[in-house]
Parts: sequence; structure tokens; C-alpha cells
Amino acid sequence: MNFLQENKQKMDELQKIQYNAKRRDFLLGSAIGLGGMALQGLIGCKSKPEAVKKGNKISEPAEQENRPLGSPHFMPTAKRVIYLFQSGGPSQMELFDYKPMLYKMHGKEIPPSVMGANRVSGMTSNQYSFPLAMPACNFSQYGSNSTYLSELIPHTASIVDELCIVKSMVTDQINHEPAMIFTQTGNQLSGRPCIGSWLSYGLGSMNQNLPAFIVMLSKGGGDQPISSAAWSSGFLPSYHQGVQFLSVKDPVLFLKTPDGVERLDRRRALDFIKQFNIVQNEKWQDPEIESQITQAEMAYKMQMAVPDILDFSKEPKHILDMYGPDVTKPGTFAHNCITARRLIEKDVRFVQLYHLGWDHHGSISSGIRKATKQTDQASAALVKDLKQRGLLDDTLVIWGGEFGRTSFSQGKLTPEGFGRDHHPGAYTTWMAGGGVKAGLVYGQTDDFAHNVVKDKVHVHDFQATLLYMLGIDHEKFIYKNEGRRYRLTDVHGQVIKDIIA
Amino acid sequence: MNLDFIGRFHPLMVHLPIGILALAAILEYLFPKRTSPAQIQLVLLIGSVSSVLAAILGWFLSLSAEYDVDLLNKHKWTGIILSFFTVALWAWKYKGSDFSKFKIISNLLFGSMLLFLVLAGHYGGSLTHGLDFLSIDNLKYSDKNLSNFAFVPVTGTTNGSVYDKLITPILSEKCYNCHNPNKTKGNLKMQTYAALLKGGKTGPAIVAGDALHSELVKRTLLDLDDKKRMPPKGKKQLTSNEITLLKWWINNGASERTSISEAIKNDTIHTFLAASSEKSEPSLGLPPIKKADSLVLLKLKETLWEVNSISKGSPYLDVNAVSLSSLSNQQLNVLQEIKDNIAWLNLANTQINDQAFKFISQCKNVLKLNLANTNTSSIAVNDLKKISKLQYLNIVGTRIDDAGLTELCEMGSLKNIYCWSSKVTPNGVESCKKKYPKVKIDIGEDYILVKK
Repeated sequence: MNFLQENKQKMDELQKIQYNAKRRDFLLGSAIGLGGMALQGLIGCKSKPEAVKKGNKISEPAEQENRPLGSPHFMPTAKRVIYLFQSGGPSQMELFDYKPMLYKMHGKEIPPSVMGANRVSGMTSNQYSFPLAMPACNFSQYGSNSTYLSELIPHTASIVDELCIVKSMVTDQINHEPAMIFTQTGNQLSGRPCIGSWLSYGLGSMNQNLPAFIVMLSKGGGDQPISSAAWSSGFLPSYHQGVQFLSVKDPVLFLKTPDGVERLDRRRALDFIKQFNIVQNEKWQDPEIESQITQAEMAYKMQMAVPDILDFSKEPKHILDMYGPDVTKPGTFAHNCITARRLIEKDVRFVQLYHLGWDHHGSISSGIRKATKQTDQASAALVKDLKQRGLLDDTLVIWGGEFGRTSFSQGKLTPEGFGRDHHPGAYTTWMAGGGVKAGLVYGQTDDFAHNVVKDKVHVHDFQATLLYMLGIDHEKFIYKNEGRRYRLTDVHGQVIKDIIA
Repeated sequence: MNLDFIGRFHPLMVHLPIGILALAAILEYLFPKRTSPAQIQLVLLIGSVSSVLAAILGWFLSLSAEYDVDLLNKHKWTGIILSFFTVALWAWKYKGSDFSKFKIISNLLFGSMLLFLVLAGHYGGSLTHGLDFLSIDNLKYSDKNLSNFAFVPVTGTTNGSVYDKLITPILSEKCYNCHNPNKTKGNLKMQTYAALLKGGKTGPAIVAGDALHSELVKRTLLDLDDKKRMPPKGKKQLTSNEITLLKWWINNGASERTSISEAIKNDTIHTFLAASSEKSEPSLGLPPIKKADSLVLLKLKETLWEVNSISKGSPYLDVNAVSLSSLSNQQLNVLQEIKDNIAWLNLANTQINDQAFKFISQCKNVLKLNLANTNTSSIAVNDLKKISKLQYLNIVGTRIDDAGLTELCEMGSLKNIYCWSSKVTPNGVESCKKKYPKVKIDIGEDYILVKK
């Protein structure tokens, strides 16, 4: 009886909406009619009003455009990705790119032939002298290929045989925000979809109970800014934006239903709201309404799935120890790394970590020691842990920042105080698993780690290769928005097949 | 309206008499009792009219002078003779009832008509598709080579000239069809170096040293809707890589003899060669089979199975029980209908046990199988061995032991086995690694810092 009454009430309210809508239609239609149509075209509503369909010829997207791929173009070697983004610009000279010449020429001016016409940032542009600085650490050879690596990253060195180290990365930007946005979206200005959103949109989720794209920021690193534009879905439907787990004890808020509220009540409330949304959607055809419906459903499912993922109580001690002492502190890089592994085990498509604290303009010696201490052990542990679980086979792990650092000193060259400025002309990124060649060092820089001399990998090439490993032809993965066709790689990008096994 | 244009209806018209005249012969000789002479007469009348029409249109088309004269003449005259015989046959039949005792003449006329029908048809086919279209050799050749004709792997050590090894394959794939000695569109032949220099209606195809003034390059860069665009809209287009190569070759003198070893020193050509010899996209390497019923897939998705095609158009599936932690043996039966389509199967963290493998072993195309943290023991190995294509096996956290591992290694197909935190011991792994060096076994190695 109660149920019937409730239903009746529901119907009444729905009818009220419909009645109101009719009453308003006339006013809306005459007042903003034409303008509204134009606007709808501009903001990209899915189905256009009759009048526009019949009258003005708007260039319609082709059959295959603006449709998720569903399945990849060809067999993927990687099904999931963990991107350990090291924001700030990790110094290639202190970590991966061993250059004996820097020790020899320590304190001497960087030769003009090396410096070239390269752009320097505003922070060093009024510097008269550019003295070369030797690395603030020592290097040794590790692994079966005797690869030179810094003593600051012993854990990463222990897995060097699993890594594909690309020393010849090149980007177009010299400042943090645009360079990071460029790495993530393929464009220096914010507003386009990032890699994770493209993948969520194109390939969809592999677990109906979890979002396809999850973002985690670690705290305790540095203080350079990071904006959510880096995990924005841009012009793609907004439920493809990265779902951010907070760096606190409860990474996802409101997971627990409040006391006195049954899960069934939640379900009924959601269904009721959904009906309103559907009515609105029929009227406005705004994809954002669909996003809203999908998001609400996802939140409901996450209430079930997430607590299990965030519960580390069943992790054995030796596994936790692998990730280092920070692992139990919520919000640390180590904690996020093990969370990433647990998400990957649940087949989340793209897990994006951000660690800040690599921007060492001064006192690089102490700064980089702090940053490596926070990241080295957990990064390596993540690769090992995935490998022993047999998941590294089809999970791609990426470790890298938005640009590199200069081989010359920023400011005065003192052993403890010297720093390095931003340098887009050469930097290092490593990858593991997901079909990349293990134990490979790709690309080469000059004796000063300043210019790439062999096998250059531009950011767009890197993105094209990443998509290739997920089975996507980057030239055929297109979304048309506001009359222009967009790709993650824009009009650039060559797949670097040499790094693929 | 020019005659040339009307002539283009010849290919359309020409198929009518082929069918209709064949029909006349079939009716006359195979179904004599079911057809009356009047009916055959009517068929012949339509056949005659269409063959004469086709011949006239063909004549118009021949005025465009884009075809090899010799072959064209053969086609033209066999066609005309065919029309003649058809009309004659119809005329004879028209009077048929009076001359019925001269059956032999009717037979002779029918025979000649059919002979010329075949001849004219064959010559016509040779004109459009090329002389070697109807030959078994050609078929074999195209099967093996056509798809990667333009991409013969070429390296710095390859002998031969750029023209022979790189330019010719491109032209052959994309241009020869319409520009050959038999069919010479725009009066341009392209099959020899001399022919390229000679060019066609609008002048030489290549101007050595100046790619952008060479028709060969210029035409490929025109708008797709431009009348002069080559290859024309609808035909297979040159890739940007191929255009780059053509440009480079022409700008550098368009020599017939520049050797590859010399050219590879140049950056552009080096990049091109690197790109053209690259590996093709990864694939499963399984034979094509029937696609799974989409309704079945939909039903599976509704019951929380994650089912996805490995790639677009592939019949093979990636089947995943990641959201089904309570999955039991019996519930596997829902996969019965798609069992041949499963290439990757993930049953990790579910409640299945050794009894489940009666069914799993029937999934004969499974390449990757993940059984991590299930109640699987070495008893299952016997069934597992029946999955003869299995390449990747994850038995992390199961109860499979050293004996089971050894048996699995014997299978031969397995490339990767992950057996961390199972009952497998490091000693067992060591002895398997020695015995079966090709199988990569991962028991969660300790990574020790190896300094050199």
C-alpha cells in the first residue's frame, strides 16, 4: 500500500515537471529560440533541434567520429597503465644520464655549441655565466647490461633489467604548468582531454564497479602548483575525467551510508533522481546530464567496491615493507603506489599518480635526495609487486616528469647550494611492462645531457607509442569538437616501435 | 555531350549480352522441352540488340585512345563479329520453322556466337584488369606479396637502386593499374624509367631535381576532389611516407641508379626505410572463426562478466571475472556458447576449484589464463594440459606444486608461468628452468642490487 502511494506521488511530481515544461516552452522558444540553437551547436549537444537539422547545414561528424572505439584497433600489449608522474622536472644528470664530462668540466662555462640557441627560462635569463655543474651524486653500473645509474636510486637500480629507460625525451615547454598539461593532453594550453580521459572514453572501463581513470596526488613532496586541468576530460563527456582519490585517511568521501539510511533507500533515491534527469535529458539532450546520471551510478557502485580496495589489513607485512616505511601513511607516494597496485588488480584502466617535489632550482643536492627517498623504493616495489603477481605482462608503468634540468648551474655554483633550471631539450623517462622491451636504454644525449643526439622521442611520439601499446592507432582515434578534429597527438607523433618487444 | 562520355557506359552495357546470350544457349540446349522457339527467339532478339548497342558504345570508348592498340583491336573485332553472329542467329531463328531440318546451321551459328562471346569477353577483361589477371601464377604472387609489396624490408645493406627497390614497388601498387602498356590513361605509361621521363598528355611525369614541378608528385598533393588528383578519389592513395620518398628521389636527381647504400646516409631516406621495414601491428595469431553471438555477450555483461573483443572485428574475446568474486564452478557454464571465442580468460580471486577445469579445458583457444588465488591444485594440471595453445598461465597463490609445474612445462606451448606464493618451491623452479629453458618461470625473484 505504502509502495503504491509512493509511486503515485512520484508520478504526480513527474507530471508536474512535464506540465511546467510545456508552459515554459513557449517563452523559451520565442525568447532564446534562435540564439539557443546556435549555442547548442557551439557547446556540442548531441542531437540538434529539428530546425537546425533541417535548415542550416552544420557539418556533421562522420560515422566513425565521436564514437568510443569500444575495442582497440589491434591487439593491445598493455591493458592497463600506471603513470607515476614526477612533477617538477627530475634532473636527468642526477638520476639516469651519466655524463663523466660534467665531472671533468665542472665549473667551466657550457660551450656555446652545446648551449645553442636553446631557450632558457626567466629564472636564468639574466644570468651572465652558465657554469657546468657535476652531478650531486655518484654513479655505478647495475644489471645485466651494466647500465649506469645514480646511487640515489638503489631500488630502481635493482630492477634495471625490467626497465626501458628513454634518455632522449624532448618537450616544447619550459614552464611547469604548460609542460605538464602538454605531456598529459598533447597541448600546452589546458582544455583538451588528458591521456587517461582519452582511454576511458575510447576503451571504456574493464570493471563496471570502478571508474576507468583514477588520480592520486602525493603530499609531502613540493609546493609547485598542480591543477586538475591535468586530469580533465576536456571536450569529452565529463564522466571521463580522472576520479581523484584524496591524500587523506578517507581518500573517497561519503563511502559509508549514514546511520539510519539503508542501502535500499539510497538505491530508491538514486532511481528517483534518475527519472528527473531522464526527463531533463529528453528535453535538453545535454551530454552533461548523461554524465550526471553515470556519475551517480558510479558513486553508488564505488560505495561497494572501494572500501575493499582501501583496506590494507590483508596485505602481508613483507609486501608492505617492500614499499618502504611510508606505506602506512595515507597520502604518501608509497601509500599511493600500493593503492595503485590494488586498483590495477581490479582492472582499473588508467591510474595516474602525481608526486611533486622535483623542482630543484637551488640546493639540488639535498632536494633530490629528499625526492628520491620518497619515491625510489615505492616505484621499484610497485614494478616488482606487479611482476610477481604476473600483472606486469599487460600493465604499463611509466615514471617521468614534464621536462629535464640544465647541465649548468642556476645561481652560484657551490657544492651544496647549486641548483638546476628547467630544460625541455633532453630528459629521461622510464617504462616497464605492458610490452616494452625490458632492459633497454633508448636514445642518447650529448656529453652534457643537454641535447638529444640519437633517437629523439618527442612528447607526441611518447603519447603515440603509449596508445599503440594499448592497441590504438593514434591517427585514427579522433574526436570532433567545435568543427575541428582532435587527437591526443594533434597532428604529430610517430610510434617508437624500437622500444616495443 | 561527347562520344567519349557516352562510351563510358560500355562497361555497363557489355554485361547484358554476355548474360542474355548465354541464357539463350542454356535454354536451347539444356531445356529444349520447356521452351518454345518463340521464347528463344525473343531472348535472342534482346541479346542481339544489347550486343549491337554494346559494340557501338565500345567503339565510342575506344576513341579515347587510352588503351593498347593491339589488344583493343582484338577486342573490337571479336566484339563486332559477335554482334554479327548474334544478329545472324536471330535472323535464322526468325525463319526457323521453315528451315528446321537444317539444325546443323543453327548449331554452327550458336557455336560461333559462343566462341566469340568468350573471346570478346576475355580480351575486354584483359583490357581493364591487365593481361596477367587470369593466371594462377598471378594469383599466387598477389597472395604472398601484394599486401606488403611496398614494404619489402630494406636495410642499408640491401643491394640495388632506390628506383628498383623502393620507387617501383610504390608505382606498381598504386599506379600501374591504369598506366601500363595495355591501359594508358592520360597517355601515360609508367612501367619503365624511360616511360616516366617521356610522360603523358601533360608532359613528363618527373622533372629531375624539382619534385614540386613533377606531375608524379604534384598530382598526389592536389585536393582529393580535384579532377587531376592521382590516384583518383576512390583508388588506393599514396601514404605520406611514400610521397616523402618520391619527393626525395626526384629532388636528388631522380636517378635510375642511385644505390640504396648511398641513399641511406641521408636522414629523410633513413627515416623512411626505418618506417617501411617496421613490424606490423601485434595480433593474437589465431585462425579466423565465427564471431560470438552478441546477445550472449550482452547477457554476460549484465551478469557482471567483463567481456571485450581483443580488437576491433576480432572474433576473440577477453573474458574477465574481476567483478565476480563469488563465481563458482557451475556458473562457468554460461561461457559454454562462447568457449571457442575466449582468448584471454581471467578467473583470479574467484571460488572455482579443480572441478572447474572439465569445462575450462574445452576452451581450446585460450592463450592467457589467470587462476591467481583460486582453489586450484595440481589435480587440475591434467585438464590444463588440454588447452594446447596456452602461452601465459598465472597460478599465483594456488596449490599447484613442483610436480604440477613440471607437467605444465612439458606442454611446450607455455611461455610464461607465474607461480609466486603457490606450492611451487624455488628448487622446483630451478630444475624446470634447466630442463625447459624456453619457459619463463617467475616465482617472485628477490631483486638484489647487482653492482658491476
